[in-house]
Amino acid sequence: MSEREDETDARPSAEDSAERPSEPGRERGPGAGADAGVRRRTGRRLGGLVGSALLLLIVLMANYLAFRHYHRWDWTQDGLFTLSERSVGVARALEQPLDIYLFLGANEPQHDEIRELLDRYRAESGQIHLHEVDPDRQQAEYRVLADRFHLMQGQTSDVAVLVKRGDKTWKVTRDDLRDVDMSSLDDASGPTLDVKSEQALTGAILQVTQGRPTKLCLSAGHGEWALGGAGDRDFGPVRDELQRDNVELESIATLDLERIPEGCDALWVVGPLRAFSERELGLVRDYVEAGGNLLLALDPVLRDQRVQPTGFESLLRTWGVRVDPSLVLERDRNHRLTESPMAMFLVTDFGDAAPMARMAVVGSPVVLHIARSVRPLEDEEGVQTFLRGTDQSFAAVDLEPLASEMAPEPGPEDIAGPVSLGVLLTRAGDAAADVGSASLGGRVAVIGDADFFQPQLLREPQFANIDLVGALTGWLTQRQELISIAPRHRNVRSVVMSEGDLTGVLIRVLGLVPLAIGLLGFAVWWSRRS
Amino acid sequence: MRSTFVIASREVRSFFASPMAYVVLMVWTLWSGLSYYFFASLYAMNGSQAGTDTPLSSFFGGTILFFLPQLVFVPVLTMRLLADERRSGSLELLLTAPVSEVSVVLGKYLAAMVFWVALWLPSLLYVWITSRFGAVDMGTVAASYVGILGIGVYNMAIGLLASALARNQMIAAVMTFFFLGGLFLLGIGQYVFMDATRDILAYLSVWSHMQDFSKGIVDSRDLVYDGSIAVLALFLSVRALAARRDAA
Repeated sequence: MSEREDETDARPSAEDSAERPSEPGRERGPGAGADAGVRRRTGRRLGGLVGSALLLLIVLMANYLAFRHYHRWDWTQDGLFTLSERSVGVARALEQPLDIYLFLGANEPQHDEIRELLDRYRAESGQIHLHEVDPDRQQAEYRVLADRFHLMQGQTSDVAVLVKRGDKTWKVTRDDLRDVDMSSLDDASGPTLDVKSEQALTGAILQVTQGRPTKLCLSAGHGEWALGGAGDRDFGPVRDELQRDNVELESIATLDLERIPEGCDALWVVGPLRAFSERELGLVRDYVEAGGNLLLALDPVLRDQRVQPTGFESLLRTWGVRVDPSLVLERDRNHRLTESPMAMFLVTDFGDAAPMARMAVVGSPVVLHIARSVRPLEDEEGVQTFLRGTDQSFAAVDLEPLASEMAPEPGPEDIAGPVSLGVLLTRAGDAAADVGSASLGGRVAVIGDADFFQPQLLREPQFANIDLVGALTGWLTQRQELISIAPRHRNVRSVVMSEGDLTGVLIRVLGLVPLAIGLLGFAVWWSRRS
Repeated sequence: MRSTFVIASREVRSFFASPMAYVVLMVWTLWSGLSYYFFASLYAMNGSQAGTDTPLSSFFGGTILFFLPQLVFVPVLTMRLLADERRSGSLELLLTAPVSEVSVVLGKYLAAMVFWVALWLPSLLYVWITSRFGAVDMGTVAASYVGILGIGVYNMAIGLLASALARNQMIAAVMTFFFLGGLFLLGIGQYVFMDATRDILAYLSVWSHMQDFSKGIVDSRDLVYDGSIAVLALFLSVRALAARRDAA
């Protein structure tokens, strides 16, 4: 209704009759004018009723549509309720119905958070059916399901979520959803909680949807990182991360083998300290040429101020890759975590290789530690760099100046930046194929570092090391949806206050603020009175 | 549009010129201060095993302490908007003036929203206090205030409708109380029923709306619900006013 129309309507009927002599009803005398007024009022009331009913209908329709088709924006700074690319990929890839049972009571502290996450999975796929069963309030239903899915251990059950597809089920316990970071117990801001619920739920979906676990074979016998290895070279934490993605790791000693086992979806060679023999290199070459997949994480091994050969140099050269006997120095201070240009530096350039496109989406840096350069041979189009240092980086081949100079400059023999630190290539039979192609098998990833597997780097959410591991695993085993999710950290104690602080808060919020408002009110009253 | 702002500014001026406004604000800040202090001390002493809860998320809609005072303060703020004009006889004067019912209703509603915002301004102090003793997620805080604005949008519209329908302030306040209380109780049904009924009741529940907002989630369903209820209530207020003018 326009204001002009309203203004006309708002005038009294007496004025109406004076201003509108030409209205038909008014020409017939006072009685006819009153009838017209009644008719007009009745018409207005009827119009009002119809308008109200129509608006009510529109409101109901709008709410029905909003109820069915909605969007939830996550405004938290850490994206606490935003599903990772990987989880979205897993949910969208579902082609058959999947049942998820939530066995958390409404009063349990994790309930709302998990329910929220599950809603987000459901928003990505109509195949996910959620069944919420409160063990306290729906005891009968819970007992039936607990018996059916064997949830009980004695009289209790710690299963929070059960994922089921067909005959396959996977249980997620309350402990799988969160974990206290023991190293943070003495922090001034209080201990940190690792929220791993998304990791656990996506892992559970993968467990029941994948036909069989993906098997990675970890080479042994050359001082490589090993399952149960000593100190920092233990690959156990990596296995624990990958297990959630239905990936199994198995150690194989290549020295004793006739060929790489057929069950290996990929062969990983991580940080060998000693060179592979010619016979072993032949096994690896035959495996890749026959469609096997290979990851080489080749740490520089120093002896007598020289980087020792790994044995893979000649094989990789035939595939168009050069592994340099060098040490990479990152001189850009913004890309360093320590004073040393060689230790703990950040890589943010993931090249143009299609399989690593998600790394750019993740947007976080990868941390490498004492790395060598690995680069495509000149004019080798089938090999693509996926990790690259900054323009200020360089790879030192002549290591002598490094021992004496605090800020070494690149010498004539050194490799100028930006230094390539990792490459991808595909060997499909005899012919080299494009890295981005969908051809199966023969995929090779070479990285000039193995320390990016260090557990503390994988767990750190601000670094994308876990994403790199996931992306490499996914590409090498043709499981592109596989990008691991770092747990999200939350402080167990959201505020840290002493007794004195609390008293200060009490004085401010219950004393000063109401008093200020009261004084303002008194001043207003006094000024009006006077 | 100009007449809307004239009515709104007259209403706001008259409200803040009366000592009653400061009494209402003082009682409100005492209640909300007590509520905030309770959560601050609770989290300072016990921590949060939920990981995502903070004193602010609990203060902004995590518990009944957020909703109970609204059942009292919203009727108090809105009861006089139109009912008082009728009691004093100024409504007839207003209706004979060259302004539409829409302008009158929107003007009063705008003023009511200013009261609502004024109620929540002191809570910014709680955000500042929390930031001094722990990490405050400003995205979550922003979402909480969006939620509070959404609740205000429809609470005030319902209060205004009651004020347009009622013959005096007390009846308007009681009507608002029962209407908002009814919606609140309906929302509690989500914890009683299961499956589809639960989802529908959760959709209507102001409690679950604020629980989402206070965690940093902005849901299009909540925005549509708040906005559509407000539009309906305002439209009915306009019709009620038009019917009164016709009857005059």
